[in-house]
Amino acid sequence: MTTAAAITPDGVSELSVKELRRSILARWGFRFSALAGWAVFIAVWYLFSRFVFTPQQLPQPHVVLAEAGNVLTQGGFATNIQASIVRVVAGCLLALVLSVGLGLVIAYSQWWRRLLNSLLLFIVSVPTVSFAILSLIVLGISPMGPILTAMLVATPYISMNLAQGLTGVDRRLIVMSESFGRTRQQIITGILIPSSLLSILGGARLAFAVAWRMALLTEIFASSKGIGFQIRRSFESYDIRGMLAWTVLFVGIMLIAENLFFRQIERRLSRWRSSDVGTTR
Amino acid sequence: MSDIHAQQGLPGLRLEEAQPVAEGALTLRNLLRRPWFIRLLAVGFLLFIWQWVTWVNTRVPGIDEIVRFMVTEITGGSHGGMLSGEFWGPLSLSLRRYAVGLVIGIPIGGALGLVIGSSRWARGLFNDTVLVLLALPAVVWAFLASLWFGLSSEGPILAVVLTAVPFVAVNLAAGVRNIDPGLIEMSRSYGVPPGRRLVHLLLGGTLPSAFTGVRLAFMTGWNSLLIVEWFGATSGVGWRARFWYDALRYPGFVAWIFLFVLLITLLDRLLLSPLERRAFQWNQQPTLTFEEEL
Repeated sequence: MTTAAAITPDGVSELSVKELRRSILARWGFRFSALAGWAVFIAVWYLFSRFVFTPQQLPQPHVVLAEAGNVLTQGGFATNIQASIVRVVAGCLLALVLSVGLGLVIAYSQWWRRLLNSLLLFIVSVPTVSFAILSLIVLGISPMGPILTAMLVATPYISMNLAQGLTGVDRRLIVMSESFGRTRQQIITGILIPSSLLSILGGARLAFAVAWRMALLTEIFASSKGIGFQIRRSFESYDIRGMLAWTVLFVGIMLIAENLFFRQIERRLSRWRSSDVGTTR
Repeated sequence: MSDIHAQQGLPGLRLEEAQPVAEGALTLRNLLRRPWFIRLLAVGFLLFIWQWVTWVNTRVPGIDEIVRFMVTEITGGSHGGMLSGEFWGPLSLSLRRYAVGLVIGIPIGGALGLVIGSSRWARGLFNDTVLVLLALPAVVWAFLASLWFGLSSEGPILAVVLTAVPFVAVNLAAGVRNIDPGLIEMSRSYGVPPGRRLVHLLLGGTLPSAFTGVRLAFMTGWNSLLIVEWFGATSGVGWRARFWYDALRYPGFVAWIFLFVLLITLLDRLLLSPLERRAFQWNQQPTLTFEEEL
């Protein structure tokens, strides 16, 4: 409210102040309804655990949250969560390295684009379970499984977006800088990288989401550590409370990574653009 | 919490249309440029990788073993001992569960999507819930369903429903919000009756994104069905794959997984993506293509 008052100059008509007030109200209304949404979600959860299932079958939210807090403060959390995150990040970095090569080839050669398109689409359309089980057969129970499967599913997203970013670069900028005698390296660091960065980031965000789930699935099948392993262990000992607690942590980390980490970077990177491009609606 | 601001799914996998290939004499150079030849090359490459893995790793069955196993399974021949091939039973059961799940899940997701898309309040109310549902991995639903319902058919059906609902809802909501407000104003000021306005604006405007959502629901639903049947069923495709895996008969396991992939690919290629392309025909490019031009 104070900011609204501060940015209203004296000459502005009544109408625009009214409009501004209305938009602020609408924003607060949206926030309020989001809060109400959480309340409804939790209330429905309570009702289900009370009337549809028993508390053993579906523990109440506060029980699950307490268990999640328990898990967080115990030492097991650090090792498991660290294992999962390190694996996914390693897989994504490997995918990024692979994608730089693939993306360049896809962007600049039509023949390779056709060949790689069908291969990458194949990877995207295979159910993720089969990768998880295949890694169990090929690698056995090993930390390499989640890393490699995460890399496998992340690669199509990153490389396709990288290629898209590179082909979307304004050709006139390159021609102009060539005629002004810029070196190849200057063109790459000054034009190609900045203008395709947002697209690469978009790909990385999707890739992380996909890889995070893939790693979970692989850990469920073939791992002795990590969030997925813990979920499976809880499942096998009929511990629904523990299972839900680990799931809450899994979803929480994913939402934090998406909404805080990637969105912040995206906002910072897209600041130089005009405000209507690259921002969310 | 963020806003459901875009269609979920597989964006970014879109490339511009390729130029048509010039037809010419069948020299090696021309052959290399033919789309079908490139696709063949891709398939060959995958097969080669598989075969190479079987040479490196003895636990991975060879292509010939897998094919032989599948033939025995389909014809109902003997796998040795008491075990005989079973094919149509598990397959039809899984397909039935899949169909029931989608028939329940898609309308629910559609209704939810319409509500979220058309009202700001509803969007605030359901936005975060749908996001959480989207973020939940199918395995968790699989585990929960099998613990709640035991080894029956309800578990797989519930898992298909729960994975289908958020995808349809999010995409349909995005479709409703993307309807051009100018068109609504214009139809109102030209006195178009509400019924026709509903059909032409709502249906015409949301059909493409609805199809994208349905297509994603088909794909993810199939995926989660396999997971549920693997962990919590004693029948169906997923169970059969698990059965052979537990029996250490890897060719059987790989054959079933391969069949699973083949089925969803065929369904997608022959039914869903042509429908989606038709729905998109009048204004945009479909979201999921990046290979159809081949």
